[in-house]
Amino acid sequence: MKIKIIEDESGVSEAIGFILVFTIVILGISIVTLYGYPALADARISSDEKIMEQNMIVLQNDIKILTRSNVPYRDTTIGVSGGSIFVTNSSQANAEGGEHFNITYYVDDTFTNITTYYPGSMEFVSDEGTAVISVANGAVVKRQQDLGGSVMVSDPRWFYDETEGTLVIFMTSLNSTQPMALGGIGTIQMAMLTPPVIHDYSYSIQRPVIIEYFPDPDDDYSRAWETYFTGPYIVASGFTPVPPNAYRLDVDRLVIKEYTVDILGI
Amino acid sequence: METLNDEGQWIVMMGFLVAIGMFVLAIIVSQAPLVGQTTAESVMEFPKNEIQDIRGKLVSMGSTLPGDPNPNILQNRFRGDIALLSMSRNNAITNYSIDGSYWVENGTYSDIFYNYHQIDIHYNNGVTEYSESLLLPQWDPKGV
Repeated sequence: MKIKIIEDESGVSEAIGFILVFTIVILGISIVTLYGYPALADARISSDEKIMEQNMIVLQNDIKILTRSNVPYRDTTIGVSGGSIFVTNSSQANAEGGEHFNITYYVDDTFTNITTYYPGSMEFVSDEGTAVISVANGAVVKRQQDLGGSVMVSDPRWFYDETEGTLVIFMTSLNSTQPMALGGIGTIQMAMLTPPVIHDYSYSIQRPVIIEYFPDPDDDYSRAWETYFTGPYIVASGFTPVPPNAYRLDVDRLVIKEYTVDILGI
Repeated sequence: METLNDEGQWIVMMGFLVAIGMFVLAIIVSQAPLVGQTTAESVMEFPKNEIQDIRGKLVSMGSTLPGDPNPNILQNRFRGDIALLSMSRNNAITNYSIDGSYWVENGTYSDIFYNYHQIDIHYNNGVTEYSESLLLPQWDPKGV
C-alpha cells in the first residue's frame, strides 16, 4: 500500500517560531552578559597585571643599565593601566621602618660589622585586581593583596664565584625628592650621579656573611627573598637559613656595591 | 501560517561564528607572552670586549714581567689592580694565576725557541663565566 505524505503545515505557526528564535537570542545575550563579561573583565585585569610585570622588568633592566653600565641618565616610558605606581624613597622607608636588609660581615679577620640598607621601592598596586608588583633592590617581586606569600619575578644580579669564593652583592637604593605616583602613560626619569660605593673584603680563611631580611609589615616579600637566598640562584647549594629571617654563606671574599638611583620625576 | 521563511538562518549562524571568533581572539590576546628583556640587552650582557681587554692586558704583562727583578711583588700588585678595576668598572671578578714553574728557569713548557708559561685567566660577572689557560713565551728567546 502506498501512502502519500501530504505537506501539511497546519500545525506550524510563524508567531511561535518567532517567539522561539527571539527566546534563543535573548538567552544568548543573557549568557554573554552573565558569564562572558566577567570572564572578559578578569582576562583584562590579568593581562593588565602581566603587562605591568613586563613593565617592571623593563624598569629593573633600566636600573641595571644605570647602575652597572655607568650610564648617568635613563628614561623609561611606560603605560600603567589598571592601577598606579608609587615611589617609596629609601629614607622614607628608613623613617617608617620599611623593608630593609641587614648584612653582617667580617671587616677583616677579627672584626665584624653590621650594615643596614633601606632600598626603597617602586611599587605597582592594581586597582581592580589584587596584584602588587614591586621593583626593590634590583629585583622584581610580586604578591597578592591581603594574602601571605610572594614570588620573585626577576632576580637581582647577586652572584657567587666558586673559583674565587667571592660573593658579590649589589644594594640599590631609590631616592626621590618628593612622593610620586603614576597612573596612565608616563616617563620615569632616573639618574645615578653619585658613583657607587664599593666595599671589598678578603679573608685569609672562609668567613660567614649573614643577610637578614626585614619586610615592611604591610608589604611582605619575605617568601620571595627566602626562596631566592635558599634556592640555587646565587650559589648552587643556596644560603643556609638561620631562622627566622637570616641567611648565611661562608666566603673567602665579599664585595658589596652600593648604588643610589635618583628618581627625578614620573 | 504558510511556508517557513528560512532565509535568515545564515545571518544567525554568521553571528554565532563571529561571536565565537571574537571570544577566541580575546583569549589569545590575554595570553600575550611576558617579555621584558630585549635582545639588545642580552647581547650587551655578553662581555666580549671586557674579556678581550683583560686578556690583552694579561698577555702584555706576561711578556714584561720576567725581566723584573721582583716579579712576585709586581705580579701581586698587578693582580690587585686588575681585580679592583674590573670590579669597579665591569662588576666582574677577575683573577689570574701563573703556574708554579713560571719563575723556574726552565719552564714546564718549552721548545727550542722559548720557555712557555701557563697563565690561567678567570672572569665572572654573574652572567658570564669565562676561564682560559694560555701559554705565553718568555721574553728572552733561548740562546739569543
